[in-house]
Amino acid sequence: MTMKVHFEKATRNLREMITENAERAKTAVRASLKAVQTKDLEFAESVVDGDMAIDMAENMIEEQCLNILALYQPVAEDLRRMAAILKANGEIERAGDLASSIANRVRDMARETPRINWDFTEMAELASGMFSRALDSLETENEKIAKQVIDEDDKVDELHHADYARVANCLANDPTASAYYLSALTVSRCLERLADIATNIAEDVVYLKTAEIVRHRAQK
Amino acid sequence: MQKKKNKIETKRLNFFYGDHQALFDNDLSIEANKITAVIGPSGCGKSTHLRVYNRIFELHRGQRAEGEVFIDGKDILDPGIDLLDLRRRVGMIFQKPTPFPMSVFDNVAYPIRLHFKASQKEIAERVENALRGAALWDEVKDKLRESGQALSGGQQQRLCIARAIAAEPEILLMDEPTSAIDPVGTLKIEELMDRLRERFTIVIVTHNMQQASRISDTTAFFYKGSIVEVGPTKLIFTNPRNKLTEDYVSGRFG
Repeated sequence: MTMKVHFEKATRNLREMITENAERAKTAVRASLKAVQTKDLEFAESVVDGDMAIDMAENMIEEQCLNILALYQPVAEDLRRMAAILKANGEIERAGDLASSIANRVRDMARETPRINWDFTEMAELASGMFSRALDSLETENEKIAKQVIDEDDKVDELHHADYARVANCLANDPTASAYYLSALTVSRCLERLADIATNIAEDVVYLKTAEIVRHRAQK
Repeated sequence: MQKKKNKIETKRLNFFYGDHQALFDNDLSIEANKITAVIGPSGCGKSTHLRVYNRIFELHRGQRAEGEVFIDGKDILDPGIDLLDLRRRVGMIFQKPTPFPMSVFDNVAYPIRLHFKASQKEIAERVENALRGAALWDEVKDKLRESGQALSGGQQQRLCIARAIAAEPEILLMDEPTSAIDPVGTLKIEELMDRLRERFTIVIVTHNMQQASRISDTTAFFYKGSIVEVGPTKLIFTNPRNKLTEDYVSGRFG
């Protein structure tokens, strides 16, 4: 027998809202990567247009979180869930912004005819895969998946560092297409940050399930 | 790090109302100069447990406690213990304020006259100190001769706290001390408890989970006469170890 019908209902509603916004962000990320790979400006535009919906939903989710905190004063796992959702909410919005940044770079890249075509496939698949799974772990509150996501962050970091050297090389060999390579580096950085966002969300999920703050573990 | 000092050590405490067993092998350490909150659903034994600490249950026929309850290393369940002295050392505040039908002054002077040999002047001093200690002096200093029962509910409860601390106890037991008090009066008593912890060891039974989380250092969760979980309050309300505790503090039953 539960005395918390209202609280459970409000929480269910909140989880639906964040899952919905997570889907929007996933779609935006996928579309932005498609735009980069196909140089198709229509994909790029759909991402930029869709970002407003992600931003609006972020505000509504935050409001709903604060309402629940004020009205029900949750404790224990209920409290940790609110903390995790409140933080993941901001991360999802930032992922939407990153998708827009990537989409915006497509215009610059489409104008250039570089000698060396940049292949983002590996990094894009890794980062967007991490992001997608981090959001799934939030939706299903699955700590195991979350921990796997955290472990993958290093690979993306390595790829991004390697891109620095590649860009320097390309700029020296093909200076006329410098705008293309600099945009490529921006996309690489966006992907690296997307992986960071996935890691942050995954860390929030681990906190939600275990009450353990695993952030900044690697630096210790 | 300073070693924790336990004021009360309860070991395998069992309690019976006639044939009915109400407490089962309770083990609980109460740290000195801290506030320990005892929480749990109605009938879980939290008040029963508290009432063992000053053996007030003995006022009723057919109730008995088995096990050991050490206060400063001495077992207070020992039949040879001086009960009057025990009850001076272990003061108690009840759910409903219980001022005696006498003046504000005499309410507080009562335990002083009972326990200490003091001159009129000393009594007056001690009464004032106790009323100040209970954060009530400023509100009653001009009506010390008026009936204690004429005060507001919150003031009556602080009068009872003044009366309890006038006996110079070491431990204060509070059995839902604010459940009959309005929010402002509750806040005053909670602020007062925060100051009292410097001088006394406090054990409070409360139904108000937010109160337990606001004021206590340690929380013990009772269920069906057993202690399910004891730990730092912060942990009990953020990450309880036991599923029952989690369900209770998050309001899923009780």
